[in-house]
Amino acid sequence: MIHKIKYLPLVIFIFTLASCKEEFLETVPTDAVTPAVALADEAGMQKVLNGIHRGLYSQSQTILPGGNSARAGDHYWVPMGDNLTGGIIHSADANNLGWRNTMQWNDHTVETSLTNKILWYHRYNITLHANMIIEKINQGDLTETPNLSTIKGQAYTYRAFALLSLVQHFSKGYLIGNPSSDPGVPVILKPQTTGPRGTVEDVYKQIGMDLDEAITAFKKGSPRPSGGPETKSQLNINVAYGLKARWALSKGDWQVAADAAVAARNGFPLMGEVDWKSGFNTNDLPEVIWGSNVISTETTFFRSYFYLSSNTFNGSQVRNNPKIADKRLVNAIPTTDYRKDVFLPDAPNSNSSASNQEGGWSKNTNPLYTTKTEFDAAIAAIKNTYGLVSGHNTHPYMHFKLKNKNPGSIDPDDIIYMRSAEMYLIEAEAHAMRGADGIAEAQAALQTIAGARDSAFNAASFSTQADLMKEIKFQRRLELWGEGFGYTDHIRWDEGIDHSTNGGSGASEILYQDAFKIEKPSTNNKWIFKIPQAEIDANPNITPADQNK
Amino acid sequence: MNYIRHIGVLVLALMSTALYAQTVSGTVTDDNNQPLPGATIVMQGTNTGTTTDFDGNYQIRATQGQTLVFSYVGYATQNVVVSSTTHSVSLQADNTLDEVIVVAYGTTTKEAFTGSASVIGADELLTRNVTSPIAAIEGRTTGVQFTSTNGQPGSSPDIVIRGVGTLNGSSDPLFVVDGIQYEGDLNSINQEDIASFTILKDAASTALYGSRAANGVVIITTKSGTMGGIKVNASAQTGFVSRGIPFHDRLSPGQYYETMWEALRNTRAAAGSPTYASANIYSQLGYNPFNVPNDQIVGTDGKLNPNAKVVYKTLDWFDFMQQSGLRRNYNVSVSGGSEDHSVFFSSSYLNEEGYVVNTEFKRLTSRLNADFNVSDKIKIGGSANITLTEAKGPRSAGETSIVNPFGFAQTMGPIYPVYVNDKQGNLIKDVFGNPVFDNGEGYPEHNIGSRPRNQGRHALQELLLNKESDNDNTYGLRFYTDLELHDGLNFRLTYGRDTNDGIEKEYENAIIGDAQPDGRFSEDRFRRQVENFNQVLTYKKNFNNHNIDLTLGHEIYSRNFSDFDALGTKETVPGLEVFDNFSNPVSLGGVVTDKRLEGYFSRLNYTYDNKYYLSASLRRDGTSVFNSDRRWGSFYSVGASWNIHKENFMQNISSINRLKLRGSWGEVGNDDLLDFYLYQARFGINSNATAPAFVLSDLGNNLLVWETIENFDVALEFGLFDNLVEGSIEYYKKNSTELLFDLPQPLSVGINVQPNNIGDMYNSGWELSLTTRIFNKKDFKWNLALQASTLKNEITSIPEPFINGSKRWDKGRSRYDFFLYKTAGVDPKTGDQLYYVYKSNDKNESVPVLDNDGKMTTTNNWQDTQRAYTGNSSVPDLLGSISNHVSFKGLSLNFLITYGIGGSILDNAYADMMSSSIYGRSQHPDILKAWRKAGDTTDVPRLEIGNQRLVQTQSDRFLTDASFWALKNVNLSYSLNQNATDLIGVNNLTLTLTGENLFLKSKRKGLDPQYNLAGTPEGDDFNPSKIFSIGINVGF
Repeated sequence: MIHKIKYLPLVIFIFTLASCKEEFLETVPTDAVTPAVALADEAGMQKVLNGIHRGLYSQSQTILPGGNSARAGDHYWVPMGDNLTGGIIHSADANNLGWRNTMQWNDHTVETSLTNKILWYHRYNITLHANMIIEKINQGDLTETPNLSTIKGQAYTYRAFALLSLVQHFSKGYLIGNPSSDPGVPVILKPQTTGPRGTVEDVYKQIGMDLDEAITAFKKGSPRPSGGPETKSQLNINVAYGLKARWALSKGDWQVAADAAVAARNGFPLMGEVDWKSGFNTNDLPEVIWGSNVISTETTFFRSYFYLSSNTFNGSQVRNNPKIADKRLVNAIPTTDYRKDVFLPDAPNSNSSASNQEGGWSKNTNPLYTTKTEFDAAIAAIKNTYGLVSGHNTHPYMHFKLKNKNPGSIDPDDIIYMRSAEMYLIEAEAHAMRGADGIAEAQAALQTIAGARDSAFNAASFSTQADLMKEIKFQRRLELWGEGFGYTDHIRWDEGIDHSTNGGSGASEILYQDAFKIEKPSTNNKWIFKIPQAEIDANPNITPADQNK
Repeated sequence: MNYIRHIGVLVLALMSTALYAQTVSGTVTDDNNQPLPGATIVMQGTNTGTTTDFDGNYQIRATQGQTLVFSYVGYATQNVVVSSTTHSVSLQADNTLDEVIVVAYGTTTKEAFTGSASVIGADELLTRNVTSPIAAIEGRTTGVQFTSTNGQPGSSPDIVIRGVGTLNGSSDPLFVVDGIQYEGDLNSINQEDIASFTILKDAASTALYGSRAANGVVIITTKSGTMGGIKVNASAQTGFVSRGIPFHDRLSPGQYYETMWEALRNTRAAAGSPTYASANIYSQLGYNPFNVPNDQIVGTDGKLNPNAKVVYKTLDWFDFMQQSGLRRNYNVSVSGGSEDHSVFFSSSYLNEEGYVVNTEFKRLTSRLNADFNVSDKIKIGGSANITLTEAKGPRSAGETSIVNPFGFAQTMGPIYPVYVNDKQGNLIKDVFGNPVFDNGEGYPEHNIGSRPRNQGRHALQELLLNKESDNDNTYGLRFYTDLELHDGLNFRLTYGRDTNDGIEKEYENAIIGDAQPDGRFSEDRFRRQVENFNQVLTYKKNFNNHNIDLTLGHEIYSRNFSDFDALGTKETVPGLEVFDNFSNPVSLGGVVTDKRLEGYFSRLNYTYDNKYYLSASLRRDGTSVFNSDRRWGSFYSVGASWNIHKENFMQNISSINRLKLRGSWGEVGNDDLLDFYLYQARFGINSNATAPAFVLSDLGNNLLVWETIENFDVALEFGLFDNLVEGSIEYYKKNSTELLFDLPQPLSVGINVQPNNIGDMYNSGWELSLTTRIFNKKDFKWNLALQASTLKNEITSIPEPFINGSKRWDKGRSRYDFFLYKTAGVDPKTGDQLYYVYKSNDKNESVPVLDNDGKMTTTNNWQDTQRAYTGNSSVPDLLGSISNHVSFKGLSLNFLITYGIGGSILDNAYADMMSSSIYGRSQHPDILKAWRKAGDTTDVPRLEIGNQRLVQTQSDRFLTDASFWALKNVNLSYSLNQNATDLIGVNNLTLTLTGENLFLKSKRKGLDPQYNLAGTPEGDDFNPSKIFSIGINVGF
């Protein structure tokens, strides 16, 4: 018997293990919190805002369930506007991240494309987060402190930003269409809801209301902390005014646009030549009103803005396909304008696969280079000056406006969304569009911005609305080159794309295919992004018949 | 739970047991009076027993009046009441084998079993030579679908039992290893340690596992020690590994240049000009692999220059990425035991190289299983096992990664070489004399431009320079105590814990690829601990012809997972894979997750006269995955069987040896949607420029309830003509209700899915299994087995139909019904692809748009129409296998053929290769049939670069018949006869020759119909390995 009893303690021990309490089945995640915690107070909601900030540039699968690593938010959306409209011109065939497909208009024209899906989804994800904050604050059970007001201001600003982005991509342009009947995009004001497309007018109206709410809240709120580049990832009243200026400009509300632009740039002085030529890679630049601060532990590697658009980034997209500017634009820049210096019309064409078929010494057409040695020396000099690596190609009209802080690397750089120069240009355009009454004010605004860049600039020489607008368009294309405004500018101005006229842009027809020539937006609905098929598949309010045709 | 009180009862019960036993001995012989070594003698109603030694002798302690049960596989069991100290028995051969089947929380016999199960024993496993043992059951059981192993060394196939009963989440069955839920990799189990697989398919057999049994259950039982003498078994196999399924056919370089020329000529830039196309095609493709000048490759007639000969070398990428892998497997096991204990020990080592360079799987296992009869009332036992695995290979394979070697090799245009060629086709060498990898970024000095596909990337170079490894250690522990409390009343405690520790490392080089120019290293370390603890009380009682077997139990399950991962860039020393070597830390992460489950269960089996069997079970489970007020669910089953052949009226029908009718009905549950916190809405933790951040990650749903699967099963099992033919025919229907699904949300909601209980669905099917013993002589045996299963799937309720990839889920439809654009052929005038025009009617059904004549209208722009049901489904009409076993004396030949008939596949790889919209991508020879001029009648549209309308992958044009047959396995073995083995002093010696995945016949070369259930193979994945091996097996 004894030998049996010695096992009893073991048996008893095991029995006691078995007793379960109900808490046994209550488990909590360690990498997440409940909505109640996240939205409990100012501190939590600030973190939700920080999440939206991060979502602007994160690889989408890390922020959006069902996202995709090939799209990292505004890293793609910002340069896309100039990629679509022939601002950022591809010099050779390279399709990393689908960048060439986007350029060829084989991307946004297809309802199943990744670009359409993620852009749409990302903007509505911003809306969802903003709506959760707005809903919580509007319940009224939190004390409205200045910090809370600022949070509220940011949430409304984000909702407006998302809606403006959506309606400008997925609906017909306000000025060229019939806003009161053209289908808009769903206006979502409550978390976890959806709706029908409504009209463009509905969407614009909501954006206006949201921006006014935001401005009111910001006025009561605590100011944005000053400090490093990270502070400019927080939205403030200037951002709200800046968006209001863009919104009003795109709908032809000229005085409102001009006034908002003035308010937006308040406190953000134009930068000087050294800053302007420093590469547009940091929020630290004085005129940056809003930008994402991308640090090395939050890098997206090869999905970045500069991988797609800068010629100093060390990626195959860049090495094989240096981006060039429209030579008609570059050639038009006066020599007194220091902005001309960032474009290199005489860069040798080192790439034997350049799509213009003029790559390599044997096909050199530039009379500057009479020997291969000179040709090679010029390539070496450019590489040396701009910090390129051996694999980088050079190409006539290549740009060095957008430059990595650490050239030849894959280190991340900030993404600038809004800066004072744009606001001056909005102000100038809005006043010019007002008609004769606005000429003087338009000239003044234009003089400030263009005069800061071009020592010989004289706005007084543009005295008619037509002349002024022509110059303003030129100034926008130049000043904001590569910053993604091409798409909305073309729609607002109802301008098509033609790479062939006036000596040609430098783009190659064999590479650009159908995108070599695109009819103007008022007559060509291909400008409108297709609603993503996933939305149509799941939203009972939107059927295949509601798709943009 | 007040267990302490029970303990008291238990102790008393122990002490009151009578102990007046004596030693009984004797000899067990067969009907020819030959001694039967290893025959089992068990005291009826207990677990106490012994086995005979080599001379058929046994000894056992027993009391007068107790019944001894003598049994031996293949012989009729005999009961003897102890009346003296010697009892010698002669067992009669019995063809109606009464196999012991391991079932939920116990065992039963095939005769008594009321449920549906397939058992695969060690003998059947012997003929297979697979790394993950689960692969060995393919073709051995009805109603089970296999999807291909991905062929990466060490990978396991997925299995689906009787159709996917859930909409998403996992369709994997529950794996139970020696009584404990197992969540480790199946490849960590040594095939030769396995005594049997039991695949439980219906409710009667699975319901005792309740909520975990939704997808069926696979019980794996490892070998135990054998009584009588020490037995040693050693085996070794060596083989070669190669690719099992070829690539799709591809165009030659000359054909490729011609089609690309034509595709260029048809563009807007060329405006139809042949001169333009001839002048420009080289610069678009970038490479000239021929011996003619760049501008004379294709003439203005669209034909390759007749003088053009391919001079480039190394144009087939896969040639350089594949190797003939070597597979070696060594195994030794020792078993032994006596009346009071049995022990099994094994150790094995496997080293399998994949057929892709730098891929490998190594495994070291060791197992100790031991059972001890501490007294005649107490048994204690358990097992300890350790498996150490090391897998090397590109984790990117099979994904959309650029350097997936299969995607890279298959889709690379045929004019792009692996190594840089000069104009004459000589390989360029570096200073060390090695050929230079062509990275696609252009070598103007050698007349090479940029490669239009995968510039700056090189699948082979990256495969060689990168290092990816998974090191996983599995530690398994099983422990049980079995107490006989009273005659027929037993209490058994079982505790098990499996610990999986893993280290996954990924080094990416700084020279080429995603980590250029910095170098990058990441490491992920995890630990998964799965604990199961169950307490089971059983009571068995016989009176007259009645037999009762009652089981009551309680179980807790707890899974804890923790991981830690980091990523660093900027290497100091190339190739050194430790974090100290990386100066720029990029990310640091880690998380802990828990899942828990508690269950109470009971089962009652009742038998009358060994003719009528009834079984009923009930289980109640609570899960941590659902909200507290909804987390408990009840699951149950009832089953019955009738051994018709035992009825008196059957006794005169000698042609029927066995006839059994059985049926069962019940309900199991499912809580698995791949999220342990499913009901909880969550904000994930994130950061922005180091400031802490929250991002909504999951919507959660407090209203979620158990998905339940109601299961109905009826079967007729038979043995005819002296068991010449044996088999069964079976019908089942599984109704799944309250289906758990991550319901797609409109993207405008801002988050794309929310878990929901959304609808109902059923799976049903017929299963036929036939085995004929064509010859059954002593020296010559020939068995042929045929299996066939049908599958039907239908959604019976869904609130809103929705589109899920290439399928649309709607009431009355299968989840596998294709929903695609419907093509209407190629317009003979223009060469455009035509599509039928569909629109939604007011019931949200996609219906054709008819013209005035009532004919279907067409368009050349798929954007002007919408998708519709094509009438095809990816579900095959019939799935099954044919297996053959022939043996003559010591020589035996086995082969296994699996087949599928019917069903459709959307061949994505083929669709990509039938498009000429971009430069640089390989093409299928079928593209040569493209439309060229007005009047051409063909189903291949015009070639044109950049045109998105000509080829729509999501169209019925690419639906392909999924029928296939495959020679899965051939095994030839020779066992030395006894004279020979005696001569060399061993008990047995067998030599084997085995082949795995030898041949596949499908509709199109390169197509793997078993890639996935949805019938959407990408065609750029690892696919199963073909393995030839020789082996030797020695016992002594």
